[in-house]
Amino acid sequence: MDMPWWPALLFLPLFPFSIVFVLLIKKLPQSWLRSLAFLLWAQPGVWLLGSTAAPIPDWILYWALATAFLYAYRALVIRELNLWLSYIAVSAWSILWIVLSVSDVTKLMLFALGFSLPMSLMALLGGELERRFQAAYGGLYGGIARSHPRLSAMLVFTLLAVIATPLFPGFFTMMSSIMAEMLTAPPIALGLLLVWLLWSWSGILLLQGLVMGPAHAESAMSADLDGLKAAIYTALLIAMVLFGLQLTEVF
Amino acid sequence: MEYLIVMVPAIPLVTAIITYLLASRLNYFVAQLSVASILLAFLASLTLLWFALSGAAPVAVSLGGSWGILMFDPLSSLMSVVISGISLIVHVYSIRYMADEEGYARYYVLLGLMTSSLLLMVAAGDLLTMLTAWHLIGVLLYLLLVQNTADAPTQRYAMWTMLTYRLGDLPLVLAAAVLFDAYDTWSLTELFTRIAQNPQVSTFGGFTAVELAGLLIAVAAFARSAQFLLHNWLPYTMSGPTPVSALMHAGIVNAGGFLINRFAPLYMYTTDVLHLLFIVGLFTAIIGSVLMLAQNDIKKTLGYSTMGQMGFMIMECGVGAFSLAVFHLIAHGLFKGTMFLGAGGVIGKARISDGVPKHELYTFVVERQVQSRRQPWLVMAAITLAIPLLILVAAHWLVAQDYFQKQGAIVLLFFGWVTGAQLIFASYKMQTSNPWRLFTMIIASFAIVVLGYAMISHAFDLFLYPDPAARDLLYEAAGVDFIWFNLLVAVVTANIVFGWIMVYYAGRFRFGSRLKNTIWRNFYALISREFYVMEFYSWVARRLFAFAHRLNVLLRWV
Repeated sequence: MDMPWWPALLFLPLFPFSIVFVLLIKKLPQSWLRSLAFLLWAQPGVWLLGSTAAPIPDWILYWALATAFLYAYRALVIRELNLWLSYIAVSAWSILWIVLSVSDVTKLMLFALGFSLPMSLMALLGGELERRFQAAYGGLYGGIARSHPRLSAMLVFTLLAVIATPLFPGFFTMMSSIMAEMLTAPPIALGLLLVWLLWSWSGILLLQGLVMGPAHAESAMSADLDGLKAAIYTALLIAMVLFGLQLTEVF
Repeated sequence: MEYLIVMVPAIPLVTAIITYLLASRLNYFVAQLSVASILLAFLASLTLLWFALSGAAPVAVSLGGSWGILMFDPLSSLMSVVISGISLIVHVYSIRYMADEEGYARYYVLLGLMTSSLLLMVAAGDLLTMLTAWHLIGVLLYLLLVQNTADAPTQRYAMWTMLTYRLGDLPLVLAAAVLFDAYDTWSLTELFTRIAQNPQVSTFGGFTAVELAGLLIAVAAFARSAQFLLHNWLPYTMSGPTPVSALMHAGIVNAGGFLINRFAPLYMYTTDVLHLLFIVGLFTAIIGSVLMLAQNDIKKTLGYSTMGQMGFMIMECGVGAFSLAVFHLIAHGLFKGTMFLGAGGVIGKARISDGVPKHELYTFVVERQVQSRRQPWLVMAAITLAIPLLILVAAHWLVAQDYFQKQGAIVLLFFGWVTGAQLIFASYKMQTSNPWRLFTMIIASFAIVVLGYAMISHAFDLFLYPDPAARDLLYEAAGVDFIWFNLLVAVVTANIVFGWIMVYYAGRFRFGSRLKNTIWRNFYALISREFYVMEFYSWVARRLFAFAHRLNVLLRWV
């Protein structure tokens, strides 16, 4: 069945279609629902692109890059974890349009999953923060590195995965897309690097607001992540690293 | 030997993982465990260096797949010893120094991961492994710097460090992309072979891939080694733990020099990039040294001193003296590490007594009391100019007769000559009962330093670049047109001699003294504010944040 490619604009969201996804994340009340949305939202988009026989115009690449940059840049001043995550998700998934120009759909699906997995985990950790502090907001309480060392460690590592640090899958997706674009469209490769830099910048700012700073009196009143949960999160992070290493085989 | 090559970066990594998993049970035992593991890695590195000194051929070990190659060669074995050695000292120092800090186990986990990443970087045998290690070092350094999670300035400057490092990661990614596209391999050994076979493969914009990649690698090295405009993170990250500062200044910041040396087989075929390295390095060396003189905080002084040294190291690469840069980074790493680890003790003792003996040097340097009787100027001028030159020429002629045919060598000799002459020049006015004894001692010290430096750097040359053709290619790539070179030497010489004359006659002429004072005051204001570079970056960041905020309001935060 031949499908049109344009509905994919909603699932690999390009601005202004991206508004739908950001609104959805804002409206979803449960962290596990948000986690599921982060995990699955991009996949129908990839499937649609795989099912279409119609050629995708070249100018989409520039639209995708503009969206990736717009949301990465806007994320610089976002302190609410779920909103920040939705911006980074839009920014990351729009890069998949660029990856598509040099890759097949199977690889694209893996790359999409590589971006989505850490975000999904981060959404769950956002839920952990909300349960303890009624909000996952940077700068509101802060200092949980001292009062909640396990939760902080998970937040740090997951955030590093979200902003595409090696050896997490996002790193290899970014490498793959930059490698591919460097000779065919150098301005796009440079744009991707800039987006990557903005992710790191905004991620560190968020981290500083959540984890760093003097320990707040309220922070000490709630319990840290229990051992079992921490072990599960650690196992998921290790699985992500292994998945990232596996991604290098499809470069 | 293959096992040893893998073991060196693997030991600290495995120990860090064990420490992380068993932190609550191990308690203070984490320190002993970490020290033991780094000691093991150091011994393994020493064994590898011994193999390399015995003339063992380079070996590459693949961990499986298209990347994950670890390389054994003279450069990697030497750097592994330096890194694991300095890390061992830092580990031992931290046992007591960090004992009362929160996150003791976390600190050792991060230190282990950092050591492992540094060792992985120097042993990386392919572009992707190199990129991975290069990137991880920036992230881990950030996490080490924010060990004190409650301190706001620490967070702020650690973030600047992280951002600068990320800026430095990106050109390296581009360089890897250019090289992979041009030569179709990740493996460094294979890449260098293909470059030697065909260095003229062109890429976009009419550049050769080698020239463009060389430029990008240089920019990555600039960020990591705190070259001017990418230097602010270095002197400002002093709020982190002192052992981390020591590791940073003794090991991490040297990564730029290592990177350029690792890609030396690429730089042999570049035409202009090494000139850029020379200019940036020279400029950084001067700016770093000037800023160092204006500081009143010992750690910040050391920070700017490192910046100046890094500038000199990059400049050495720029003149083609690659192995000299490695010798320099090792020597600098050792003395700067010692200074950082000793800084706290020195400050503590200085609170009781400054410890400076009140003899001739003190009255000259601190109290600025000069000798009223001057020596005959013609004799002194001859000593100043001729003796350092004679010592330098003799020392270098002793190790390599063809040394003077290389422009880069002439530039370094020139620097040595100026330094030696400046040393003698500065001591003329010193009050002393026996000036000739003083000059003899100065000249003897200078001769020992120069001779030692020449012989050791020559040994490094033979060890790291045993092929004379490779060494010649590097000097050739750094060379400039003969007329321009001589003109440059003449201009710089005239400038220095003019400076000396000005200093010699300072105070005799009052002409234009008001203007001179105004210029000096303004210049001092400029350097005391560190050329407003930090203010400018902060201003740019504030504007970016303000605009992002306005954009979000305009788009209703969706």
